[in-house]
Amino acid sequence: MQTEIHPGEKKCAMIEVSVKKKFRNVHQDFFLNVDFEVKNREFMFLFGESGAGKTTILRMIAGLETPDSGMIRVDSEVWYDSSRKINLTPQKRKTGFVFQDYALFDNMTVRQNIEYAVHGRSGQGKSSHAGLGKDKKEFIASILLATGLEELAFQFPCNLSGGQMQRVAFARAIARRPSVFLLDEPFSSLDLDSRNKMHEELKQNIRDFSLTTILVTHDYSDVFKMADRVILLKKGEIIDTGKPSEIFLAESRENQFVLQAEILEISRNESANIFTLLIGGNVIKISVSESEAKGRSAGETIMVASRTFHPVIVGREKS
Amino acid sequence: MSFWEPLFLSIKLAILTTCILFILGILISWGLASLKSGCKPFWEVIINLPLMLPPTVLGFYLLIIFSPENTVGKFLQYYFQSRLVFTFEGLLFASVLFNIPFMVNPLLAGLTNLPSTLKEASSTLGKSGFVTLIRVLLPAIRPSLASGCIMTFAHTMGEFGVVMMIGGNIPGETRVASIAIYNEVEAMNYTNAHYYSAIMLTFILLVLLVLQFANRNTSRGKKMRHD
Repeated sequence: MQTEIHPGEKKCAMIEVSVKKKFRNVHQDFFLNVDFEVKNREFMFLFGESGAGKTTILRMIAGLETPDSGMIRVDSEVWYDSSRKINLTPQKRKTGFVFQDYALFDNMTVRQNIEYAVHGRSGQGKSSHAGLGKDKKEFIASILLATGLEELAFQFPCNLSGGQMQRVAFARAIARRPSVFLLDEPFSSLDLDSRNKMHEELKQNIRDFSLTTILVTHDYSDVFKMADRVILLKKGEIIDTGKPSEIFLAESRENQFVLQAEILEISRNESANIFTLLIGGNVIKISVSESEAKGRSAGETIMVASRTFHPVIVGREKS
Repeated sequence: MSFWEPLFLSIKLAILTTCILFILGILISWGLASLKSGCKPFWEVIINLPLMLPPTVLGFYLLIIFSPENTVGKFLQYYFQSRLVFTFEGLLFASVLFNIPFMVNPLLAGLTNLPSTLKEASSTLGKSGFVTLIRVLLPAIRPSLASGCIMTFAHTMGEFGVVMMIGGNIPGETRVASIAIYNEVEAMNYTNAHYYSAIMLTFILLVLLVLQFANRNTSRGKKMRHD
């Protein structure tokens, strides 16, 4: 189903962000200094380790945090400009924000959560359905249909699974008819299967609704499956930007694997350090030299690269 | 004076105090929960002052302030032809003041324990702070609202010190149940004192049991829904 929220094929930069802010992460104070543009209907990813400033950037665009200085402009409308003392409230910025914890309203059904976001209407109350205008009812029905929530419309959020809650958060943000769609680590609380399914659904929905999107993640699979472009952040600075393949596979060659792994346990035998790793839902053990093991701890996410080898495909996974 | 009059007066005072504080408590706790400046602890101390202060101290100061001899008392008498000392209205005012922490503390705890993303999500959906309060925040703290109302109601029913100081002991006007018990004991009329005390004890016990069960059912319901 094709639902045009922002018709028009503009080729100009749609979002311009140039902001500075001193902020504190878990370890220390540091300076966030970023300058980037997101094109119309582009699916942009902010990627980096925890505490790099990704979520802070998203929150500054939404107006939930104020930069120390700089400018945020969306479709030639200034949302923030420190030199001209312009700072629109979150209510006046047309953003659709999907929070990491989804922030669904437990006292409202799925449908009422979506109605709440439809501008100019109060969406609560059991009889509110009848009070909505025809266009709005159709709009809400189209969102419920597109996000596969029709059957869950009268359920309360606390009865939904993680994937279903994510769909509701997404549908509610779309109902706002946003100029910019902002997602803060939307897959972080999903298991691997749900995550893979939601990647496809989200990508399809973003295409259907023609949204300009910024998504924050520190997961490589999110980036490779969905991103048009990625901004790599480290300690508040942009260190690289481009297509995922340009950034992450620049130095990789054929028959070399670069895998993202989470360290589950570090142990040591007589000759080497043993890392127990979680890679793509599988647990494996590898030997690691003293220098590689230095400074690593359980829970950390690392990249594991193989040396040149010839992989053999041994069969298809049973589903 | 009928036997039931002090009891009805106590219930009337408790209902009006709870209703006024329901609105006032929501506004105060919302303001305090949104406050980011360093003066928040100062306001929290002021709100909680009636918890520690002997009721007679508050009653004494109110008696002085609202006395027709003083500026505030004179002002009320001159412009509104009313006085707050030894009247039901004065009793109600003192009762509202004295019960602020019983309403505000549960509401404040409820609001500050909510995830900040609820409020933020509502604001990114274009809703004002007030709409967010009414539609999102208050429904999310229903158990706190119930706690605040029941605690305020029960505490007002048992109030003595403040009532004695500012209300005195005027039958049908300020003689509430707690004062009536005191009167009956002073007059060595222990039978009536027993009746009043037993009714008050049973009533407040029932209110607290209802509160306890309501809270238990709410938390159990929440837990089951999350399971």
